[in-house]
Amino acid sequence: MRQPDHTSSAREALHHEAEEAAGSLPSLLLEADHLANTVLAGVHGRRRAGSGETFWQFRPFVEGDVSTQIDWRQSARNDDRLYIRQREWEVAATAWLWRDPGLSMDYACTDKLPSKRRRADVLATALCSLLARAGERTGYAGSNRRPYMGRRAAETFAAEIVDEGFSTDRLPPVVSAAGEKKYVIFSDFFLPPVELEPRLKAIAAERASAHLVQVIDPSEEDYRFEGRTEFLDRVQGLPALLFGDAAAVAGEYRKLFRAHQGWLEDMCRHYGWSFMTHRTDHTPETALIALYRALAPEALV
Amino acid sequence: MLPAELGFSAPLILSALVLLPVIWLILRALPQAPRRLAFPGYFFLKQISNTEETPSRTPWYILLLRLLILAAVIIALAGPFLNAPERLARSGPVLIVLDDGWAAADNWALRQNTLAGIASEVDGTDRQVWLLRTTPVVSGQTESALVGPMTADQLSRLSDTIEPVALASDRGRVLSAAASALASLGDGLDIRWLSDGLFTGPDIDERQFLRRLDDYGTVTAYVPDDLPLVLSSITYRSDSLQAVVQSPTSMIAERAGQVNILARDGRLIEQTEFLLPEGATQANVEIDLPLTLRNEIGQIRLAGERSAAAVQLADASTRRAQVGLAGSTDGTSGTLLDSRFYLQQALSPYALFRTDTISNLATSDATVIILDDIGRLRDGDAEALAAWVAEGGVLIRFSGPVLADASQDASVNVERSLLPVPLRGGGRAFGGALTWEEPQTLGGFGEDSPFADLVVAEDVEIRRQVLARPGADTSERSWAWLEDGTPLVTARADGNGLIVLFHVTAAPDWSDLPISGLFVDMLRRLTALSVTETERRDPDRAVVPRRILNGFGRLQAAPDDARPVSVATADDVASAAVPAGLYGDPDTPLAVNVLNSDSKIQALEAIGAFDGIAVRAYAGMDVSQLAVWFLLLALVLFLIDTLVMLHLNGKLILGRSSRAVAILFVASVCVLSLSVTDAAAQIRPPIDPKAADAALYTRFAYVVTGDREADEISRAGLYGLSQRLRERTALEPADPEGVSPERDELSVYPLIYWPILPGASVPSEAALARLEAYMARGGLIIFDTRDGDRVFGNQQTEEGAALRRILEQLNIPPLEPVPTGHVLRRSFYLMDDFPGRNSEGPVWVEARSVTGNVNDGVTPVIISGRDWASAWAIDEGGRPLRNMGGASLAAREAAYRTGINIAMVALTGNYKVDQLQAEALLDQLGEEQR
Repeated sequence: MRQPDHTSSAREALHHEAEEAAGSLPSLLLEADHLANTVLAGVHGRRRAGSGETFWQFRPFVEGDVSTQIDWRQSARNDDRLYIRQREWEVAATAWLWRDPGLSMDYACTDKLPSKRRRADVLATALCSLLARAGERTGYAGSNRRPYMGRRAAETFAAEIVDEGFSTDRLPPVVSAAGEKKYVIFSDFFLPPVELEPRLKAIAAERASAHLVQVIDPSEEDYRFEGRTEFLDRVQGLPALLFGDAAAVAGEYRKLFRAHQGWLEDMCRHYGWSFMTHRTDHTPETALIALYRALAPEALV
Repeated sequence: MLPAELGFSAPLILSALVLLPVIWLILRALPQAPRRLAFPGYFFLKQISNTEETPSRTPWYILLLRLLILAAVIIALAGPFLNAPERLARSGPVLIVLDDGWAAADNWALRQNTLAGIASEVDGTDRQVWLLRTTPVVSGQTESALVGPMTADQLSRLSDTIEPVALASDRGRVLSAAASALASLGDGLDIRWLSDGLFTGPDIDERQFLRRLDDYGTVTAYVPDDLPLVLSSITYRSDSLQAVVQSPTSMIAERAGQVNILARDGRLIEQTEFLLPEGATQANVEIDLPLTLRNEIGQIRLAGERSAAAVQLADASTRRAQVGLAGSTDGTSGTLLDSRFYLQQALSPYALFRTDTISNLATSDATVIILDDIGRLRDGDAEALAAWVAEGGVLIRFSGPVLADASQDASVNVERSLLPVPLRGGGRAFGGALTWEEPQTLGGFGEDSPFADLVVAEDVEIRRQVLARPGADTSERSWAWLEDGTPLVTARADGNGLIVLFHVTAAPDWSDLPISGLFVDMLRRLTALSVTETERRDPDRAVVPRRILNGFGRLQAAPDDARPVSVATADDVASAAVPAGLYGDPDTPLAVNVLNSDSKIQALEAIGAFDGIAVRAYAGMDVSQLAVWFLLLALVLFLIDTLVMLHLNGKLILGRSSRAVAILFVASVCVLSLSVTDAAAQIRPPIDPKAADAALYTRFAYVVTGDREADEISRAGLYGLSQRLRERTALEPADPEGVSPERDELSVYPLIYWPILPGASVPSEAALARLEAYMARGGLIIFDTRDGDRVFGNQQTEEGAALRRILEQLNIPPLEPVPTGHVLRRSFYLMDDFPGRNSEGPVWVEARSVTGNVNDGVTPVIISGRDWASAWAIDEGGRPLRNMGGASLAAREAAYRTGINIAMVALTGNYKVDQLQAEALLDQLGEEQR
């Protein structure tokens, strides 16, 4: 809780932050849109040549289809064909996207790479855009808003995540809304298993499926530091760690890093979720295609 | 030479070096500053932070670097020096014989150090010190060559202030002069001879010097390691300067160097390399300089040599005149008929030439302008020339047919026309077929003239001359005259300058003068008038020293007690009475140099002057020099240390900085290449597209008058003529072009038709100059007043008056009506007359002249009032535009024939002239063969 006398200045700071964030919104949207279009062109090919959504709601009856699925009203319009209605399109699942708002995500080892948070924002927005075009509903798990649909979904989504400040609560939330849910969680998951495991368990208990995307900086995985180095902690403000020769602990660091990644993979496999790692020095297209395929296998048929 | 000794001025400070191991230990204990960074991987690192932190050591090379820095600083503070002075175990009074001439100047500090060394040697003893300087002293002066006795302290102070003199040592004479004083000091002197290793005079004195010196005591000679190079003389050649670099000994190894040429204000004008090959004692250095720069030369010095003998001062007599030439003819033929050839031959050793228009010459820095047979001067040119003469220029004019013709005009004002005396028109000729006068020879030269002491050459014949009008001034203004007393050369002072007229041509067609040696002498004296003061020739004149050369070769203000010397004595090299330096008027100084071309520099060692005595080297460098080097080393090491530390802390990323360097480099190269291309583009002025087009096809031109009807007739007339030429001749001109002499390039048109309208204005000076150049280079201008049918008797029409106004300003040759047999009558059709729309009035062309014509006999102008263009004019369909009256067909045909003849003359002029004379030529050839 904040003290009353701090509220005005806090509001000002927030306002200022929001203004700054709003400035970066168009560039984020543009980048995400560009990304989504690239991916769409690669994945869909001729899909967009059709006349619209209705075409996808019916498909010709082929041998092997259950006859109860035939939509007789539609089939009656044609003499020679039977159409079946695809159930999948009727019950749209909601994809709940979430991006880790922690300070840990605000890191890039050089100026040339985007920070992890930025990359996660781009990926999430692009995914939102893709899903919206495919008719899926998407929501931001961090807020309590209703999920979005339609063409403006990506825009609203982007506005929401850009506005968000940094926070120390870095655990993915459990969405209370009803219906089928698919979680897509962008984070570096640099969290102690003791904290993370109960939350993942809670998500799994909702019978929801989840896709964990670990966004990491290349320096975090490779660990190429050497010489006398002092490491500072921005997340919790813990005392600095001084190493006489940072290179000496490289082996141990990498081992711990792999172990943590392995634990995450094991968790996901256990729940039947997907887990992927994305480095900010890799192209976002690959990650997005993989995500999209994992999320909407039906749409790709 | 003894090995250099290393010493310290404060050796105690060196004990601080003991601290170095301690500092080593401290530095090892202190870790280097860590690199700090926020890193999300902290999450993993904090799990391994419990591993013991090994204290990081500063890398050993950093430690070594820092200890080296400290050691260098400590050593620098201790004041290390090389070449500690050596001590001689002697007793008795000390006599220092100091060679303080220019030869010692280059390493003067060595002498000072040695003097200081001797001072420290005698310090604390009761030995007396005497100093004998070997440069000659003016006999009357009180200051003696021998100074003393001195204490060590006085000698030490003297060693700081003593300076070399810009003279050569004269040891023999100095020793003789000081003989009695030396004898009184008694024998057993400790004699130190601080020799400069050189001598310039006869070698007998030098051989005896040591023996005579030996009589007074024990001699120790200090001998320099290397002997200085000297600049012994400068020779002024017609096209370059030659400097002579001398070495006293033949070179052991090849040596290259530079000669610096400085202006009078001390600015560097030019630098020239020289090379003394192995075994040589002398090198001649050619210095090629534009004359303007050459006239600015104040001194020439050897770069890197610090002595008065490495400097040659330049004075007024070395400056060469810059002669501007302007003449009626183009003068490009370069043959024996060309007057310019004779002028250049006569003057080339003493002057540089520049050929240009009169107005350009008057504003240039020419000191002499020669006008070769120029008759009328345009107002602008005359004013510019008069101003230039008033400022001190020498204007030399030569006669010729054009001047003779121009001077017929009685209205020509002597003052305005820049002639020394009024002239009678036409001139006179002797010895021709119809005269019974014999060719005249030279009578004599004026007493007050610069030619006064010239010898009259008997064999010079004058066949033709322009005559001066008899008058009061004429006799006193004549500098040379013929046997019968008629002036041959007249001159008149004007302001600070001079106007000189030769009453003959500069080519040998009027007289033999141009091919005689007298001509060279006369011209040379006239050009010399422009550069040097007349009073310079007086050998008894006294000149005051203005700036004096010191031993190091620097010019200083002359001392207050400097005495004036006569010009005659100043002609030689410097002596005690006449110190080297600049004398007299600052603008036309007289230079006295330490050496001249007769000076011979030799090494004492070569004649064995040091045989049989103790020889030592001079004390070497100063002490503090080494400290500076150690401090510099410390600084460099410190910089390296900083860079290494930055790199270790990751603040210096090499890749980025090297990229920045690369970008800078590329950018600078780009800027350079851009400026280079810009400069290249600026060298050549753009070509007028109209002229370029006209140059591609032969075409005629007409002068645009501004009157539309007249211009259209001109165009149509030339168009009609061009059509006829196409039909009948091999000449196929393109369509005619209208030109303006004010703006357009005329030289691309072979023929220009110029209809003169009533009240036509005179073109500008620039346009007139362009027209003159056009005529001089083979162009043909047709002036058509179109008034032939309106002229009665001597009555002048408005057009005629306008033409007269224009021609008054133009320098055109004498004219005559077309004579019979003229090339214009024969060039294509045989013509009796040249009818246009009318056939009245004369047609004027250049008069044939015995002395040869402009343009190889092809007339540059045709003047008439026949209105040819109207007769030629046709429209596009070939229909005549103007009525020709009665027998129109025949009259028009005659006009076209006239036009074709004119075009043929314009394009094939001298060829056709030769055709006319073919018969005579063949006769001549036949005679030769026979």
